[in-house]
Amino acid sequence: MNDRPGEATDDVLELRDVRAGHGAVEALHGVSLRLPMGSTVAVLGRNGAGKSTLLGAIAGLVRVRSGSIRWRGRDLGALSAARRAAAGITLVPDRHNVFESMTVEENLAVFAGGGPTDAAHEVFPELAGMADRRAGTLSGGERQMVALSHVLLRPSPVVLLDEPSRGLAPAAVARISHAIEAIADSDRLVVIVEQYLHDVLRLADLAVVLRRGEVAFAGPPAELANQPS
Amino acid sequence: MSAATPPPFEARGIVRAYGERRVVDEVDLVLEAGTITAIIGPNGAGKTSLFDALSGVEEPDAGTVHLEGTDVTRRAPDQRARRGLARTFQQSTVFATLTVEENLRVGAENRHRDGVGRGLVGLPDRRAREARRITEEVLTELGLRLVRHVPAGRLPTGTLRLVELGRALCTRPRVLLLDEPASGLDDAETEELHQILHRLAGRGLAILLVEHDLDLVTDAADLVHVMVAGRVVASGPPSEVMARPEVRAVTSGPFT
Amino acid sequence: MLVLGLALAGIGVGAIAGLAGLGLLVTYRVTGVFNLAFGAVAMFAAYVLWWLVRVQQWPTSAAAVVVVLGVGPGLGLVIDRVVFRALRRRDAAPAELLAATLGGFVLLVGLAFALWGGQARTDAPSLVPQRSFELWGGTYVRSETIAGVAAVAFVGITLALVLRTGVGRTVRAVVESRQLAELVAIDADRVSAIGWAVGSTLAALAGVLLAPSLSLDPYGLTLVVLETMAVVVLAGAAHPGRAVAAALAIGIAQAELTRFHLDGAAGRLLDAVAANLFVVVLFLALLVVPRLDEAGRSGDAGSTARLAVRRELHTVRGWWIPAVVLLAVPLLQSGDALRTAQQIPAMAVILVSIVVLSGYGGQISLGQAGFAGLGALVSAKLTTGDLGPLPAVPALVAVPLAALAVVPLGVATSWLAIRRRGLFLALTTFAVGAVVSRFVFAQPDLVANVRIGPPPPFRGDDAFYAYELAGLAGALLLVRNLHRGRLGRQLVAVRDDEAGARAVGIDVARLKLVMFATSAGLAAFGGALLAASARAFDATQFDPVRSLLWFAAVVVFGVDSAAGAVLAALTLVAVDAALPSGSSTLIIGALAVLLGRLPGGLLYSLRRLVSGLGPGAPTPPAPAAVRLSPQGLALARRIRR
Repeated sequence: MNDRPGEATDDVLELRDVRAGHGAVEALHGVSLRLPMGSTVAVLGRNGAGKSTLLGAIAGLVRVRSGSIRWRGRDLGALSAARRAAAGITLVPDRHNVFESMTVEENLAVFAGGGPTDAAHEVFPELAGMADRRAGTLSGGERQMVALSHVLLRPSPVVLLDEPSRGLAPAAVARISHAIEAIADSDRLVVIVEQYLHDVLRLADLAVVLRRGEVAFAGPPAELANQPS
Repeated sequence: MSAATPPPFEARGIVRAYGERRVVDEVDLVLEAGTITAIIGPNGAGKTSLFDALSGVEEPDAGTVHLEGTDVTRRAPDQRARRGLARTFQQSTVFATLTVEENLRVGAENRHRDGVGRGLVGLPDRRAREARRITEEVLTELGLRLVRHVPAGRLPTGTLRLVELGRALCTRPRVLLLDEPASGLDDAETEELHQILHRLAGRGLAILLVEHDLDLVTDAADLVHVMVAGRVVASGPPSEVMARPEVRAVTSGPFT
Repeated sequence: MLVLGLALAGIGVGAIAGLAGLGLLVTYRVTGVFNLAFGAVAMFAAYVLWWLVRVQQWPTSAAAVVVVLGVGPGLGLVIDRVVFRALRRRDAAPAELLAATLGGFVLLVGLAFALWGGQARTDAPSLVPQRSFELWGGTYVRSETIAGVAAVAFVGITLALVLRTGVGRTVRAVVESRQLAELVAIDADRVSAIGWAVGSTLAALAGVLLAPSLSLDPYGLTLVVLETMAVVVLAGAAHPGRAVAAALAIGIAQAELTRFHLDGAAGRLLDAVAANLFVVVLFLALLVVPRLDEAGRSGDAGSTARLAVRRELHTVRGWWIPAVVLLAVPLLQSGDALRTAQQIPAMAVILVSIVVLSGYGGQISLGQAGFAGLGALVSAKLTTGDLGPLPAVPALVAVPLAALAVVPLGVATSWLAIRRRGLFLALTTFAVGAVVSRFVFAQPDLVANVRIGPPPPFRGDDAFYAYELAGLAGALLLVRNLHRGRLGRQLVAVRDDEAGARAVGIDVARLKLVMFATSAGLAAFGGALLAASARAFDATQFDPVRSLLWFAAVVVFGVDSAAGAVLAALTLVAVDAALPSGSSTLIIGALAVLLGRLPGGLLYSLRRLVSGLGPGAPTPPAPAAVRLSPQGLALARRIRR
């Protein structure tokens, strides 16, 4: 199990030669990564490079054909998405991330598992004003606020965010960035897939570039600037 | 080009809305023959929704679409295809259990609706020879001859994109809508795509692409529209449009 | 104006229909599976109650509690755990889920047949003592009505209340987006199990309440309950309140209609409508209700693309040779054996018609018996000259003519269903079959004195069998043409990717229409042969429930395999001849339920086993190594990822 003696295997989320995909199509062709807990990781790449599939595989939504995903030494393979969520891996997908037919308040209640929803209101005070509106009627920025409340209300050790700023105007993007900064702390692993280079690199300790289902680069963001495209 | 000839493709005032949310907000688009037009913009800007309205997959909530002067706004995708509008998709729609050649052949032999009766009885199709000829031409042109007998479901992404493009070309379209054709292609393949598009435009096709690969757009496109939150916020030749700071801010991806 | 007494009686029936509909709706919305087996669950529960009370001599109340609160939820939980959880894990397509519910349906019907026989029983125990209460001025209400209304009111209110609580919120979350619910650590499996249990319990309750007023028989009771899905369709497959209201309204309407009497044909039509109002409403609702959205995934339940075999395993060349040999064997027999064997080619043609529509055309067809029966009826009447102004036609000509005559019905069905996709398309085919059965086959004056038999030059047993084989050969040739050439490619294209097919100019709607037409014609031909081999028109042979059985058989043997269809026909007839009657139903049901372990059908799984690919989900292997020349290698290097 531990193939490199002398290396701490504990506090990481590790992917070993993961092949994964939806149905007949394989989107990840053997990805290996070590993501230390407490870091913020930016995952970059073109559309179709496999970024969403990567998050999906970690969260348990996408089936892993071969290879393994281990968290703190424990193989996640057998765990369903719901179990992983209960164990502390939270994913906010890029689409279908709110319950559209339910009101904002109900969405928050579901995210909070019936508990208090103050944490979300503190970061996004606007939520109070939208409480009775059905989530399906919200604008892009408003939806993302509700979607991200999931992470605010169920703080978990591993947080996966798939394009949190998707489709948002620059002002909203700034708000989201602040919220993400609030989430990231010394014990948490935050993995963000994003399109906007600048914002995310500012926050990240580690940058991973995916190209066609394989890791093209993994290292400190500063080095990324020196790489040819 | 005389003023009396309608452009190959014209869309006016396209709106697509989900309840109050406008995903496409009054977009106008005109494609001239022999040109390549690109639409760029962040994810979620409404580009695919626009494409769906233009190709007939969804009906727009408002606006019109004209193909060579004929109103096709309410026409189904297969009707538009038979009239010369071809489209590729972001997620591959090749026929996975058919070979590459068969995929292209399907493109070539369905420009007419008839022939079902003959098929049921077992008689060969009347236009089979022509379809075969077109298929051979496109197979050769796109360099697919060596994989012609491979079932499409087994192909890597780059070849898949070519097959889908080939299939569209076999319908001998006059207007070609390409949804992220370079997605999943490496640099060599993207360059090959650029060459192909250039050749097609040279033959008089009107091409519209949605793309994230800004290098391809800069190289290939004659005209660029920038789409943000459902609206076109800037239009013009690539060199001018991409240089504008507000456009750069909104479209900078990992590789610019 | 409404006659109150009648209305009250109608409410009683309506209430029970409402219960059944609620059960179906709850399961559908919570689990995403449209449980066609709910009719069979109701029937089975009623049988268990009958058995406990009449055979084991239990007191009715104790038995009722065991059945409604034990067998009901029990069946649901077992179905969920054994069948559907595995399918969910496999991320099975909606078509596979629907096929699995059909398996459950067929299995339960088969079990009931095997355990308690097929004869109708009229002594089903009633949960409430049969009394009438006078309300005022000569209007009576029966205790059953009160019981029914009380039951549906209780259930309705409970459900409504539960939906408002936290539990209800959780359920609504799962219903709306299972995936998102899982990401919020909600145990969607447990919610599904509850959905199945509740749905099943309500079905059991409905069955138990309904049985006393009808007779207890495996086909009849099941069908009646199945028809209550009309209320679910009327409610847009979404609103429980609407479903119950619809049920009550139809119940009342049905009772009130019995007041009116017209003369002649109009009168008979009215009587038929009144007696079968639920079927009529189901049919009309499927035509007319504007938006029928499939729960959960973007609807594909009626498309059989995932059930179909992938073309990696090329059709075994010359498979028809051993088939011909096999089928020629009965010619060596005589007497009873040959007579029985005469059913095989006829059944094979019918099952092949299902392969054409469902396997090649990708549309789940649940109404084939209607086409088949009409083929039989029309050919018989054409021969005797009983079809209105048309002259008598020699039987040999009548059979193909009848097949052609039924083609328009297939076209009509396709056109009727044009707005529907997936699951509701499948239900539309069922509704058409049910309407044909109720309004044609069940009308005594239409099916009285029908004389049918082998057409004259082929009167002898041997000769008729050879005639049938020739017919089957013709059908298989037609099917072969659906594999080849432009048409064959079009069909595969539509199955592989409908959007892509449209994008290159294929008129998908018209293609599907052609599939329906061809399928209907073939089924009619097969039905004519079947009735001819039996030398009689037996309406029960073309009962709507048979359609479901036949479809399940085809799926088990491989929904897009003509060879499978022939084998299925052979199996069905042989099993029913050798084993007690109804065994074939049981076996097909069991196999259909196990379809989860046999993706692609029996034949496909066996072939994969034999060719060394091993059983498992039909995913294509990793990119194959294509042998290339040096230029090819260079090119491939350029194209390769």
